[in-house]
Amino acid sequence: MTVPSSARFFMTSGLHPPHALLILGFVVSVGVWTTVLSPAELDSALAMVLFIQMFLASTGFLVPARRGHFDALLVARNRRTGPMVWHWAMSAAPGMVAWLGLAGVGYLAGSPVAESSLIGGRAAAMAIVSLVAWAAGMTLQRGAAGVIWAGVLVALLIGRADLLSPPSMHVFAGAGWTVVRVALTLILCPFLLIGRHPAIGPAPVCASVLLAAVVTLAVLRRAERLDLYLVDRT
Amino acid sequence: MKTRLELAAVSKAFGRHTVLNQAWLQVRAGEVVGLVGANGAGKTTLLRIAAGLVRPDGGSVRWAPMQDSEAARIRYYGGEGTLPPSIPARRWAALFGEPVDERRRIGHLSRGTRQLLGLRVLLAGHDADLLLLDEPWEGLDPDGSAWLTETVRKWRARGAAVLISSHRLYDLDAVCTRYLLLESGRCQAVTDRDLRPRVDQLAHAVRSRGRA
Repeated sequence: MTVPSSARFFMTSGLHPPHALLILGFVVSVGVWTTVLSPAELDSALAMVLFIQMFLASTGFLVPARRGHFDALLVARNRRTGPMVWHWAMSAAPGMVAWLGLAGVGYLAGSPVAESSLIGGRAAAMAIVSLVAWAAGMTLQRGAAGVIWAGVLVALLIGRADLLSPPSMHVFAGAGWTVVRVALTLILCPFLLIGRHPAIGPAPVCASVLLAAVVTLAVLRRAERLDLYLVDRT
Repeated sequence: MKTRLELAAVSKAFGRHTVLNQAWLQVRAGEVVGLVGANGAGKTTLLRIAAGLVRPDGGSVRWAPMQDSEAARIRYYGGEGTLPPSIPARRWAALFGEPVDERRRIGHLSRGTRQLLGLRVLLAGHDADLLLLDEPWEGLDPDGSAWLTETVRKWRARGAAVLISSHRLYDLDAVCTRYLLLESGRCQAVTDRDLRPRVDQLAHAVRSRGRA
């Protein structure tokens, strides 16, 4: 028996259901079509991919691990950190590839937001969703974190929560607690980084990505110590 | 013989339920140890602690490789239920470098076929110091059981240390060099290989502990 690399193991072990990948493929196809026809519409396609990524990246590590599906890999490795980092990478990969593909098409089509979707605020939105959805879904069933997150956003929408209060969103640097508050708002609703919302300065954007990364690292550290007892043997 | 696995005073509780209470266990190279005990005695928990998947609350676990410069090479099999059901059997086996003809998804196979698939993948090659097998004979037909028994013997002959948990006492008897009874969270030696009849003694030990 040759124990495969973590990347190959998770690529083969079906982290994403086929129908979710089909939906992603359909959304990307529609996105490419609309972007080619109207490069300014790239944002709509990116928002759809971002929404799907909320579910795709939430693959749930602990549930299959406690069913023993990852035993062969985890027993062969001294530490869990490496396999878990690869689990995150493989969970986020389909959405990220779709995002990069759309951004590339937008760039070639001359979309005004293509650059931001590769290295700017829009790219930060993708990073936040990829990190937070995986970390929040660590102990949940596949896709559950996406469902909860979408539910919270819908609740905010129905409640007409004013996430875009103008003074706080125009922070460009410095303002300490305000930067953290805006960063937390962006983590809650990364869609604020897409579209024609009020300009958000680089400080809260960077802080939000940093916070999302810190949360993910904390979850990784915690999961390293979790017991993988068998919960279901049928 | 060099010790490949040592559990020293290992304790484990899930909530208020104490599963292991100062359990001691050693498995040496070239030795097959049978772990027996009533249902719920903690055999699976002990094996998963030995595999490094569950952390003990107290005590220590030590693995020793064949060569001191390397990390111990451990293989653990938790049963057919631990195989991912949505993956085609052929793809799963190919992941570990084993050729298999079966194209159906693992979840669509019979229980025995799944068990055999998992064992064939796990026991292929001979590059491990320690084998941990949880109920490996469950669901196997006579041919599969015979193959497994023969394969475990080969591993033992090549110097691997093997720890097997099973209720199939006659199958255990065919491969084990000694037995441990897990009862009240502790491992107790049941009988010596030379004592007869071993299986009856084992069965009596498990039955009487189960009633207690």
